[in-house]
Amino acid sequence: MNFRGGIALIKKSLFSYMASKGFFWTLTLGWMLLPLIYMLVWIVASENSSISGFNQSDFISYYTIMIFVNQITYPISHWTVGDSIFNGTFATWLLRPLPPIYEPIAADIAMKIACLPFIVIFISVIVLLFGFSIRLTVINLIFFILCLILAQLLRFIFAYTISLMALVTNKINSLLSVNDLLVFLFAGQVIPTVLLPGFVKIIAVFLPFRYMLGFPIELVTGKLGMAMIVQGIILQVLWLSVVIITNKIVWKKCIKRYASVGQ
Amino acid sequence: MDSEIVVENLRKVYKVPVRNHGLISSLKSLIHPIYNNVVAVDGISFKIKKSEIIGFLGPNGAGKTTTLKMLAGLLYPTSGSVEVFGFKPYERKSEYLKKISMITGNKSQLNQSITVLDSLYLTKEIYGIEDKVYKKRLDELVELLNISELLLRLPRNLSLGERAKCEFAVALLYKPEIIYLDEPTLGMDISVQIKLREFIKTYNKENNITVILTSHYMGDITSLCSRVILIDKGKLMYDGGLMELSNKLLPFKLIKITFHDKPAGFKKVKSLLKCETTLINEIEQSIALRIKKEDVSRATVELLNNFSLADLTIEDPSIEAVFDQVYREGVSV
Repeated sequence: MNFRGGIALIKKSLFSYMASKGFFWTLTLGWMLLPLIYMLVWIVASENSSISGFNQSDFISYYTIMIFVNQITYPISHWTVGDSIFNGTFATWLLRPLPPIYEPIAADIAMKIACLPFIVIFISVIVLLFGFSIRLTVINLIFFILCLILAQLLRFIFAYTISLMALVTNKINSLLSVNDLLVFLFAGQVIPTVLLPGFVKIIAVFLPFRYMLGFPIELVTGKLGMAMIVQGIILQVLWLSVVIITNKIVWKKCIKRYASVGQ
Repeated sequence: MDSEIVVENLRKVYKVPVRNHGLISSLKSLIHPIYNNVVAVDGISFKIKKSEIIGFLGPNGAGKTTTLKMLAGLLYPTSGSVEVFGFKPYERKSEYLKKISMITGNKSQLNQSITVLDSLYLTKEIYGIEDKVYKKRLDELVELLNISELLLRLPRNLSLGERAKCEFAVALLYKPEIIYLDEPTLGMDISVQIKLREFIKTYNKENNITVILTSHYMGDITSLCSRVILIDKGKLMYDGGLMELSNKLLPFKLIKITFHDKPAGFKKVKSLLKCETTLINEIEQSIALRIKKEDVSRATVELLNNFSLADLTIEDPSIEAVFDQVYREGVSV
């Protein structure tokens, strides 16, 4: 572990974002507006009666927390890693005495730090406008923090693994778009997973996407019983293991075929 | 002295997608893509000792940069072996990466959004350089490269030459033992090229580092490299001294004569010399001739004895001419 190098890379990314803060804050605003739009849609839909146990207040809490969880788990690096491979910057990462994954990790951490003030302001405004209430227990909070960390790791490594495919193909952007679409459908963005109909819900429960975003939110808003929480954490850990193993295989296979184009 | 770099039968084959012109071919390639194997490096072997400056030469697409990338560890060889300090570069072990540095003329390694000083600091932290050592090395490099005024600027606001100097400062901060230079003076004006060459020469002498460079500028090669490795179509064509290569390929010298009064024609000169003589050009009072090296001294005496000359010069053919011949005719040496 090269902590000094890692911290220096975070600082470097931060300096870099500061130099183009307007662009990054606009990007962040875009990410935060989508959950806000979904929230407004569901507020209107649940105006007269609750939907499968979700009332207006539940939707407000769910999507307010989603803005926060989405910011924490969204891996910006899956786009930048592909670009770095295409434009040759990736070769610079390979020549350093630390694993290339340090660069996207540092970029992600720096991005979250840079956007934090903006998120706090944005969420505060939403809370002031719409109100916010959840019944939080200590157990739920502990599970939430654990699941949030697992969700972040799962979403990051999943996207990083896809972006590594850029080592062998230049069709990476379409793959990343498909990934974003699957997250949109099955992670609880457009609709909380527990509200999905029939077999779609079963699919969503067993696919990895729910565990990247929706699951920690469902947990902290008190929509899951203990059995479902335990089952969810087991699936989260299982998917994380699968993704880590896949990442190692993809890295080993793809780096051998890397042609170092653009360098 | 033991070799630092040992390359044996090194080979690199790229798989390149191909398809015919037209919509049908495009659709076919969606279902059944066709690939061609392109042999970039084809079984080359060589050894390099510590503190040598080696020039990798060859026409575009010869395999120089691919070889350099395999030495640096950016590419996996398809077959053969490559060892640098006993490491296999493609394994990219930390200990190995701390001993090497690579500068490419067509791609800046500096982060364009942070200042040069921040880039140097980042390198310090990644390579775990202590504060005192960092300060000392930074001072040395800043003085040697004369970049004190550039430290607080962003690389995107620097000229090509200024940026190159900063690239060298970052690349040398951790004192690598081998430096790979891929066309380091690409696009620079002659004054900057000369300064960088001087810097590389001085740095090599003072620090005993090994330098391996590719360049299409003959000035880089003639002023820096005692040994050249010539590669063409992936194969090693020559490995040895630059002058020996020139002698082998072009066993001629150029004789330029300027007459005092009325110039004698080429025919008259040729009939007098009685050796294989080729006219290069004939301008006003002057004639330039190409004559075999073994005939040069006799021809010079004949010319001086038989004509009233204002000037006579004997020159080696230019190194550009040597490589032009190699690149065009693919001469095996």
